Amino acid sequence: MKRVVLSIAALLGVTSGTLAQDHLDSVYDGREIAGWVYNAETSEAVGLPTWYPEGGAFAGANCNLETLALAASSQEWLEAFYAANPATVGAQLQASGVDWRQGYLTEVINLHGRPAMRNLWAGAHENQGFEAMMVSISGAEQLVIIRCSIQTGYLLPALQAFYQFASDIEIETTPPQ
Amino acid sequence: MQKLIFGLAALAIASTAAAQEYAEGLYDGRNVPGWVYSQAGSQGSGLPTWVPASGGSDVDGANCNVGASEVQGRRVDYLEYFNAVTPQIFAEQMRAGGTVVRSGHLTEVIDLNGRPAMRNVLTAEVGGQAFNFAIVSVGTNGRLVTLTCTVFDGGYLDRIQEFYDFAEGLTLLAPPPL
Repeated sequence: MKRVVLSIAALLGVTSGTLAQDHLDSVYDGREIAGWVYNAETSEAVGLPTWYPEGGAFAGANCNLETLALAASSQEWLEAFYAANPATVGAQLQASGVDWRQGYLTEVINLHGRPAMRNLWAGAHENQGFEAMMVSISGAEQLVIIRCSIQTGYLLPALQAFYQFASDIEIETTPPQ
Repeated sequence: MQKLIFGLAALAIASTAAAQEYAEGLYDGRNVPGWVYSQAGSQGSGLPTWVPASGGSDVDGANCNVGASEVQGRRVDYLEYFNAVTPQIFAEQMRAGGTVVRSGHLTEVIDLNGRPAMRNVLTAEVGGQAFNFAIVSVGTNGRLVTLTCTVFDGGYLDRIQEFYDFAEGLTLLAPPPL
């Protein structure tokens, strides 16, 4: 349990070893996400696979994805997710170097047939404020984190697009037992 | 299905639920963690109304209320309809009911305490003032229960966790649909 929590915290602000490509066998497939376009240039620069809204909608919005090798059961994931709240997630983000400013929502959900946790929060990067949705999707041996962000004040209009991204990207990791 | 659609379209219309914190067979709001029943708010709106225990509702207008309308729908009917709704469709239904909707932000189908439900987030005007709304439509056996949480425009994210907590903390007595 403690290992799961620590690993989730460690992942939040640190670039993982995820290859920046639009699909990774047995992990995810983001080649066909309605309303979203993969951007190879940004992905390479950031070191994370990154998508932008199609047609320039929601200016400044983007979603990216990270993975972390982490084995846990469904029960362990749920325990870790239910123990989280906006303040604890914020503390984890800050501890990992993220300029977290405010947590709005932590909710445990079922996504892609497995336990997941959604967080809405606000932060800053190089003095530029942003609002973000972060979804942690559990797996038998891997945790997938989806982060979508947009400039401060524009999260609400982008909510449906962000939720849709997290729902429509194919997650191919093995569900936890 | 037609009855269900009419029931949903009536969301913007004040329900017939009595303004009280407990309604037999419908809900029990006498102990909603983080929320306090507001007699004054209930009398003003004609709907049972709660305000955040954390305070500040006199500043940002945050409150939640409960309504209900008679609808005959099975679980499969509710889910079929909820899954067909988009922010645009829901906004149009509310406009048809007389609400000045500026924009629909989110429609998601959820399970609320074992009942099929749909959460809609939108911005609308009431009396020339813009508000953010989180409306949870809960399918039960014989009734559509509607939990409506409101805050002045711009205050939604600061209240979202409390709004979610209200929806999960209110005890629904209306049985799940068949």
